[in-house]
Amino acid sequence: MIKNKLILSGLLMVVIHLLLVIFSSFYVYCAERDKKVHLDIANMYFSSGDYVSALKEYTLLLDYQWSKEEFAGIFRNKGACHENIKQYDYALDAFHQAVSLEPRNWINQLNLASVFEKTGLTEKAIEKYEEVLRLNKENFEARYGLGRIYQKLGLNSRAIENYRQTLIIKPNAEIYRVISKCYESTRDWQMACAMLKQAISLAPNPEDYVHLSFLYSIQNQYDTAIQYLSTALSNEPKSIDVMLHLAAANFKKGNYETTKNLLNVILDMDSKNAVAHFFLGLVLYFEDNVSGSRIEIEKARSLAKSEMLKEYSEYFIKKLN
Amino acid sequence: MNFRKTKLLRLTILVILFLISPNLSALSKEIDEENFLTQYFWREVITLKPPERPRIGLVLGGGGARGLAHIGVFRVLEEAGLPVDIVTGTSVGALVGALYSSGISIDRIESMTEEIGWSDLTNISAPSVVTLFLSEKLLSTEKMEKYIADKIGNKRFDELKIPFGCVATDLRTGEKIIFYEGDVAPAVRASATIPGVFTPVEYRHRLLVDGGLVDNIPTDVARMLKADIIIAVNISADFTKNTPSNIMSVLSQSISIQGEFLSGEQLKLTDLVINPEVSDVGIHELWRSRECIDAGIVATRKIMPKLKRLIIDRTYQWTIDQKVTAGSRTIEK
Repeated sequence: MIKNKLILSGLLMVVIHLLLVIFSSFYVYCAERDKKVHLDIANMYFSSGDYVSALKEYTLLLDYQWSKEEFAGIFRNKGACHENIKQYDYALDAFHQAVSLEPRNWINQLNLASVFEKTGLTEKAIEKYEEVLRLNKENFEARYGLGRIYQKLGLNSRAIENYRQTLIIKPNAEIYRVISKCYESTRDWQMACAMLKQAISLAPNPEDYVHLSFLYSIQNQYDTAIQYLSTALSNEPKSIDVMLHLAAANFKKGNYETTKNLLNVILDMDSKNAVAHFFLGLVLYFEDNVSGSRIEIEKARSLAKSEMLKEYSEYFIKKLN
Repeated sequence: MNFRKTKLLRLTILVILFLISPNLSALSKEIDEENFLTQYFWREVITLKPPERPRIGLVLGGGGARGLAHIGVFRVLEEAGLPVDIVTGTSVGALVGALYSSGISIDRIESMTEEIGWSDLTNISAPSVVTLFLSEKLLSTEKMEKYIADKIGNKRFDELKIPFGCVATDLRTGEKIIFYEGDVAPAVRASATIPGVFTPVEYRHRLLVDGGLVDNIPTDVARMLKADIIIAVNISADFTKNTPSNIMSVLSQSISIQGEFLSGEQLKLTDLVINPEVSDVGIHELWRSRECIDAGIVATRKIMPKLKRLIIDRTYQWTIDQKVTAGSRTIEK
């Protein structure tokens, strides 16, 4: 009887142990499944741009057990959420945690640099971008970030140096455009033109043509300016904006007949174009046709949509009177 | 019946959309009048030289280390391509203005400020300061003159690339002394010699000290040098926050109060004032150069659209005035 009882209690103990093992395994399994589910949900919110919900999930995830790399990943995403909703202090905290877990991961350093840049901590941003480049020599974002900061600081030669490095990594029209802007700031018009031409060769657009013609006209090279504007016009024959710039360049060159012809073409297309009337008034005045000029400027004044053109027309009329 | 009505309504909407679509595309092609005029007349500002356009004068106020903000101002003006035809300054404004007017690049001037300390400009040292307080022997700014002469190469005013003028005070007569000819270095030294700390500069039988005593923002000098548009850089301190507790701070406070009082009048002559936020920087805090330069950059960038518009408007009026005057002359003939 006692023996049976002992066997029974032994069996019971075994069963209890087995149940415990099963329950704990099940618990661990559930917890694992739970944290993976949470992670999936967090990532889903993150990719869909719902950073507030993602943030809640990532914060919950920090209570689970993860490897160092996984923790760093969670902090990275948590930081990115904060950054996207402009909570820069929290973003810095999270990115710092990620860096402390994975100091050799350049992405963590890049994230920090980006937030430092956004919050105006320029020197720290430069330091971090340089750190990224030490870890990953050919990192486009870090080079581009350095270029952007130096350009903002007005240190154009340093900005150009960094932008040029990005061209080696991944050339594109936008970078040529910003390099051109830097040269423009240093009043190196020739290089500004050269870089903008490169941008046009990669991705032609009328705005670049117009700006290129502006750069040439600054150097008094009106023929070249006219040539580029003509190319832009042949690409977009109905662009009133390009036509007006072409008329203005011809006006500066002293080609009054061509200017008038172009302005008349614009007015045929859009008789209410106040700028065209205004310029026609100017040209006529330069040709000593005062009465014709007055008529056109009056039209410009009545059709003007901007205060500036209204004021300019009124000033001119006042002077003519 | 309802289905038919809905269909008819949909069809009508489609027809209306079709009819107005060309007008919509025409609207989208509409040009931005202001943008176009700005671009056109800005090109005139950059390409024309006076007297074909108005002369632009930049007036740099005094204020010790705060004046390093002037460097930031120059940087942004250069960046925008805005031409500066005349420069005037008082004290540190005279110093930065002279360097810039001589043709030294803004990069170079900026790197010079990173290296500079009071010991480069004066004979300041621990023993000299003790002597100043104990035996009332003032410090010397002789080094400043040498420094400027070295940097700009012993130039005279008429040899500078940009017409430049600066102001000092005659300690004997209280007169405002305007420098726009002769050697640049002694004039700048005199303009930046803080009374009570530095020995007055003897120059052509006059005993000269800092121009800030009589004219801290020399807009009238810019006008005298024929500037048509005057832009001033005001770097005055917020002296209401200070509690003067020793001779030096009482002196500095007194100069600030007087400077502020005089600046009010002078600023009335300006077309636009740039106000870098440096009011908490002490006149002696040269080590805060980066902060001051950045403040100059920020303030100028902030005001740049307004500044551009002002210059464009005035250039336009100038062009029309000239053309109309020339036209009426032709008619008279």
